[in-house]
Amino acid sequence: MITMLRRVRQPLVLVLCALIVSSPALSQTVRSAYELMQDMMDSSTATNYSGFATHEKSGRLATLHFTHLSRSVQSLERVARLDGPVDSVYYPRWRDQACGTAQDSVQMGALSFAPISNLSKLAESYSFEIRGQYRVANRLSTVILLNPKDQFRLPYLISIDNQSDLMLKSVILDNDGKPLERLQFVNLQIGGELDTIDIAAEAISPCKEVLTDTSPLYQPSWVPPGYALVFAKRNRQPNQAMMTFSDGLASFSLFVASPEISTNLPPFSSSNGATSAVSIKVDMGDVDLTVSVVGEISKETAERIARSVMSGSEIR
Amino acid sequence: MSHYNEQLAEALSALMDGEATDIETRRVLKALSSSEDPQAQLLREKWQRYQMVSSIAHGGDVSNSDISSSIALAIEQEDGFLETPLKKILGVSGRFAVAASAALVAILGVQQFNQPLNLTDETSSFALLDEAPLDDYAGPVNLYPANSFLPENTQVQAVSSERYSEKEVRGYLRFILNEHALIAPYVNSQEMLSPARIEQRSPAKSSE
Repeated sequence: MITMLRRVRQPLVLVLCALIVSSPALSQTVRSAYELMQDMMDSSTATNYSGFATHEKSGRLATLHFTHLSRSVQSLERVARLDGPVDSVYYPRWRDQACGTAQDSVQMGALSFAPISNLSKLAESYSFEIRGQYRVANRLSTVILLNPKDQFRLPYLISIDNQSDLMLKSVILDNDGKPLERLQFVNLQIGGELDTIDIAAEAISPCKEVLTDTSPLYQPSWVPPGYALVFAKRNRQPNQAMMTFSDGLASFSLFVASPEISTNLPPFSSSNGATSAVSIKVDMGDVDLTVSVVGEISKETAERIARSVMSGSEIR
Repeated sequence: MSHYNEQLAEALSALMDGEATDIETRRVLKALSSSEDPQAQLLREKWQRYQMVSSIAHGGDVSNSDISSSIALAIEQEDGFLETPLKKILGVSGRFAVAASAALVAILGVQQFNQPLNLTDETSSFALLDEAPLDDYAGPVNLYPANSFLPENTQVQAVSSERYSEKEVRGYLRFILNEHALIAPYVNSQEMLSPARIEQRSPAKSSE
C-alpha cells in the first residue's frame, strides 16, 4: 500500500502544480494588489475594447456603451448613453501621450502644475487591498479596495478582469462604506474588429498649446495632501477664476466668482452621488466673494478648502 | 499601532475571511464585548466596514446593521417622562424660538430637481462669462463645449434671505458642476479608472 502511494505521489504533485499554473484564479493570487493595479493601467491603455455597462448614481440607473480604441501612443474613448435623450454622449475623449507633458514644469504663483503620472503617486494617498474574487460580465475578476489613507478622499472598490486586466466594475463609497456610485460592465468585447477599424479624422484632436495663468488672482492656502494643481484658468469677467486639483483618481475644482455674481449668490451646498458642492462667502479684504468647491470629496473637506482661499497678493 | 492592536486587527481580518483560529475568534469577541474601551469601538467600526465592503464586493445589499451604539446613545440622551414646570416653560419657549428663527432665515431647502430641466439659458448666461472658448483650455484636451444641465436628483441646500433668487443659485450650481465635469474625466492619468468617474453631459453634437 505504502509503495503504491509512493508511486503515485510524484505524478500527483506534477498534476497539482500544472493545475495551479493553469488556473487563472489561482495564478491571480500571485500578483499583489499593486501589481494588479499597474497591469490594469497598462492594459487599459493598450487594449481595444467595447462593452455595455450600467451606471448607478443617487438611485438612478443609466445604461452606457463604451468603446476604447488604442493606436500606438494615441487612444479614443467614447461613452454613449443608451437611455434618456437620443444620441446622448457622456464624453468622447482623445488622448495623445505625446501631448500633455508640457505642464510638467509650469509654475502658477506658489502652486506648481504636477500631473499625477504614476501609480506610486496614487499609492501615497490610497492603500490597495485585494478583497477576493467576484464574477462580473461573466468574467472572473479580482476585487481591490482603494482605501484612502486620510479622511480627505473617498474609498473605491474596483474589480479587475483576471484575463484581460481591464476594470469591470467600480464602486465609489462614502467613508462609512456605503456605495455612492456604481459602474459595472455587463459584457465586454476585446480585440477582434476593434483592432483594425479606423478612427475617424474628426475625432482626432491636435495637441493644445499650454496656456497658464502665472499670476493667479486667488489661491487656496490649503488643499488635502496628495492633491496637485492640474488645471487653471481665469475667466473673462474680472476677478473670476477656476482651478482643478487631482490626486490621480479623485478631483475637485475651485471657483471664485466676481463681486457682481457674488452679490447675488447665497452660501449653499449640494450633493449628487460622490460629487459634493459647497459655496461660501470669503472675505477678500474689501469685498466678500463667493468661493465654491466642487468634486469627489466630502462637504467638510470642500468647505475647508474654500475657507483657505486668499487673494494672490496675500500669498505672494 | 501597538502589538496587541495589530494582533487584534489581524484576528478580525482572519475572522472576516473565515480563517480565524479558536484563539483569534475568542480574542476578537472578548475585545468587542468591552463597552467602555475606545479600542473596542474602533474594532466594532472596523468590523462594520469590513462587512460592508465584503457585502458590496459580493453584490449584496449594504445595510448599516450595527445600530447598537446609536440606540444606546439615544436612550442615554432621552429625557425622563417627569417634567418640572420650569422645563415645560422652557420647552414651549424653545419651540417658539425655533419657529421664529425659521421665519427669519428662509431655507430654500432640500430640493429634488426631478423636473425636466429647461434651464440651459441660465447656464449659458454664466458660461458666457468665460474668457476663452473651451478649445483654448490650458489643461487636458477637450473636444466639445459645455452645455450641460444639472444632474437630475441633485439636492441643493441654501440658506438665503429675500434678495437671493433660487433660480440664480440653481444656475450657478449648474455652471460650476458643468465646468468641473468638463475637466474631471481628463485629469486622471489612470485611463481605465476614468470610467469610475462618469460625468453627465448634454446630448451629443451632430459631429460626434
